[in-house]
Amino acid sequence: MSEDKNDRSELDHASEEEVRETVGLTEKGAARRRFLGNLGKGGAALAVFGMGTETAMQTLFNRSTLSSAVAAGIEGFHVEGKVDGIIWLNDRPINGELPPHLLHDEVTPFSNMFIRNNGVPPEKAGIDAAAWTVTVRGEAANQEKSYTIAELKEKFEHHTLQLWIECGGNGRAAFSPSPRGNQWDLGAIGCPTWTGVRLRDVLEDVGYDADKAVYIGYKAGDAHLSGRDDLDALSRGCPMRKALEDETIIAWAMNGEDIPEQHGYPLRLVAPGFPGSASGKWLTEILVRDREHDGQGMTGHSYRMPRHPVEPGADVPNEDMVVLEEMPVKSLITYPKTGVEIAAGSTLKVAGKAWDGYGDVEELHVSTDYGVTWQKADLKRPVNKFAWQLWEADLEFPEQGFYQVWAVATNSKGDRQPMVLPGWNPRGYGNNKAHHIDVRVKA
Amino acid sequence: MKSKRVLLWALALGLIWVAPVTAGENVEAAEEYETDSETGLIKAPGFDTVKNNCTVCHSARLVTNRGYTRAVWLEQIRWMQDTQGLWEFAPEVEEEILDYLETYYPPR
Ligand code: HEC
Repeated sequence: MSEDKNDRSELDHASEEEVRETVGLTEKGAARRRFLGNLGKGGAALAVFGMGTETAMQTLFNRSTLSSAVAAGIEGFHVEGKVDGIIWLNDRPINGELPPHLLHDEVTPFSNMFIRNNGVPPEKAGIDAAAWTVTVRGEAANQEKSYTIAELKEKFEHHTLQLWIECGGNGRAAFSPSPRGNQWDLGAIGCPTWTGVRLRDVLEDVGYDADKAVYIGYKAGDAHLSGRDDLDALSRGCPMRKALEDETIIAWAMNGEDIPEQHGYPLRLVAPGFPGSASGKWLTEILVRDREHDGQGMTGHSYRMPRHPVEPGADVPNEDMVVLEEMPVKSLITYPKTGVEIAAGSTLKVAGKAWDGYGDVEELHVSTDYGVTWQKADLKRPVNKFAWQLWEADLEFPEQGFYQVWAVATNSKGDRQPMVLPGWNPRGYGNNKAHHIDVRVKA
Repeated sequence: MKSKRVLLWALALGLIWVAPVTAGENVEAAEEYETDSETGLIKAPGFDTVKNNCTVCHSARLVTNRGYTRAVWLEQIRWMQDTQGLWEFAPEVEEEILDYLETYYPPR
């Protein structure tokens, strides 16, 4: 494969055999992906379809594990083990979210954890976890040093923490005009437990120049959608202050088991509080940068907000966009499901989750009259910093009829969720508008 | 381009008269065309070009469940060309793609 960005000429004449040869998704994919450096990045796989001849495409689809999904749109598409009711936004790349009532578990199980993939994950069957390494290097690192997972486990203190991960674009679908990006509704959030070591401990073991270090960036083992070797699917990161926090970890387990394939097997970053894209999956490298990391997804409008508030639909120049860091305070009503019917005079228990990019939600209030009056909910402390917090409230309704229950969380800085849509921005980040459910009280 | 759009809209309105748009479908102009079962794209003029160029890296769902102005569609294409390895198009191919996207996948 040519490394030249636009040179695809040799692909245009690929015969079907050649296509099969290069694609080899099922049989050869596993073997190819055994090599870390190549993983799905073996270039040719998808790029072969440069001109997208029908035969070529069908060959890919028939041989890919996602074949039926692609052929039939999204119908029939499923990731094994995911709950029925997960909302698939896309199958290539795989993106799926949960309706709020399926986020009621205290600790999000695999079945109910959303997926946001930017590229093609390395196949689990092809990965030799014992040979997987993460390499730390970069302008501000004192040396280049690699660790196997066994070495991470042996050298550093283990931490098991319940940490939420929320896609930066969660809630994007509500913005108008429609910003580019996955049209997430409410459920691109989950809070499993993660086991691993502190990124800080690893960075200290490698050694870095604290005066020079500004940012960490990651590199990952998923392939770019184009199949090209020279492009990363996603290579984001976070400022040093976040990288050094107690809860920013390199994890090898989710809910006590190997991290599932779609969630980063065998190793990933978890940087809670920041947009999910800072928590790189299939982690292969950590770069200690002397500048803001400039990998795929760090620049332009991606994961960035306008420096100053803008009007809906505004065209904002790149230089006026700044990286989205802490996610805003937010909550969901996860019980009951919207549309519930109850008998007049009965009490309705509502319950949900609340979380904040700085780590602490102070209060949660619910209203059954569109915000005229508020009732304080019983809000639990988090099991650890950056675990979502459980809350519940018993509600009574004055008479029969149609109601909405609204929930509003307030963080430790006093920031409260708005009941109106927050400011439009070009890529639709940071929508923390209060959630509500419909309730019908029958006579 | 203008007159073509007017014609399409007229056609679409005529169709709506007899067959109201299905809930959730954003594209009135598309009512007169079939949907491709493989990709979900509307089989209107430009379909082949769009299918051949736009379903290579990702599914067409990124097109079919979106709706943008011509300017935003162009911006999206430029972004993919600058950062995601999308190839350059001959001007007439780019026109055809943009005409198709603008007409059948407008802002919702
Ligand atoms: C060389 C690979 C490649 C080709 C070919 C390609 N795209 Fe993309 N496109 C991408 C990548 C990568 C993304 C980002 C996907 C993600 O983040 O999930 C993307 C994202 C998109 C999105 C999503 C933007 C949004 O609203 O979320 C749209 C729409 C889109 N492409 C349209 C097209 C159209 C139209 C064409 C044909 C002109 C096309 N693409 C061809 C690589 C490609």
